[in-house]
Amino acid sequence: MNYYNKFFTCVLLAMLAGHGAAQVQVENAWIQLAPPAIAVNAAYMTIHNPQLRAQTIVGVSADCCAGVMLHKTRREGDKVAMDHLEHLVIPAQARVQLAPGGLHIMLTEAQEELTLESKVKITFSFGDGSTQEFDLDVKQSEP
Amino acid sequence: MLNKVSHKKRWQLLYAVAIATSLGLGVVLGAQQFSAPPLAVAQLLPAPKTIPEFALENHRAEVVDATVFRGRWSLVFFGFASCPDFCPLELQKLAKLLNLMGAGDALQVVFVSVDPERDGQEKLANYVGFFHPQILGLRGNNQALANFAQFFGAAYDRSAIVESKLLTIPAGINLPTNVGEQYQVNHSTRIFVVNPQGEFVGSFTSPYEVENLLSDMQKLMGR
Repeated sequence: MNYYNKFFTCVLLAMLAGHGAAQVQVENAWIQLAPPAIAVNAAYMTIHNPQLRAQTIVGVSADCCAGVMLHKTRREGDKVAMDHLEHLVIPAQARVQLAPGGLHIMLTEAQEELTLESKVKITFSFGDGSTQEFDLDVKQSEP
Repeated sequence: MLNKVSHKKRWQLLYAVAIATSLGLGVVLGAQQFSAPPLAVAQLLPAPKTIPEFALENHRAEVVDATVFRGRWSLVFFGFASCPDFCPLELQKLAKLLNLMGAGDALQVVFVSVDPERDGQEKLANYVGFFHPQILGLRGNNQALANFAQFFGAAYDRSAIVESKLLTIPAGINLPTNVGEQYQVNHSTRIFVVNPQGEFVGSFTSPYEVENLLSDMQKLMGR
């Protein structure tokens, strides 16, 4: 019995470790302060995947806002357009940058206008069903 | 003896010609350098183009015409206030330039909203003021905006998904009522340079360093 307990504990620990392995590291995350009465903000960060396999973000939500979308600013000659991304792949042992003029998370329909005092929690949902939360501050410009 | 003298003279003449040629070349090259200082990011037009008459409204609800460009240098940028990523980035850079130049009224940044249905006068005033007090906001009806943008060659359109289909609304066309609030504005990234005579003289586009733009504007403005 004792042997079985130990065995199941090991299996449980292995499963937890496996679950932990689905996570990425979010670095330097921040939200661009929007001008007054402009209810659109962009969130930027570096997403680091230290794992040996790619991670796919299939959903993004935020506690501040009803509208959350992964976007990519795309240049078409002299024109700039935005693409909506259904998912974002973070390759194995790589970093993906969400930075001004490129990838970003667009936040709309905020319950309250975001200010420099706001604290925002964003949740990533991954392809394997796991989720990960992280906190962001609102900043005037790129830190 | 006579032969020797003429030989010497010939050499003297040759030296004189060589010196005169190199001096002349130096003057010509120097003049070229002086008339066209090398610019880091701005691309100049072969000839300046006078801005034609137009009627738009500024962020203070005043009607403006081409005289708004007289007596100062202007940097003109086309965008929209609900733009989450590109416009704030550009306006922050242009605000930084205004601070670094410290040129006061000699330089203005003009932000032209190509999204008049969403960007009312009050919204535009809040928007431009957030970035810098020296940024002038312009708005107007779709046709006037399209004509103004076309003069500079600034392309834009708006797009939305309506009844599961992608609908593109070209410049100059009023937004159809069935589009609602959720649509995209695809707009020019170029920033257009206008001289104090109200002539469009050149443009530049991102990515660029503010320091390079600063040195270009200092050269153009002779500061």
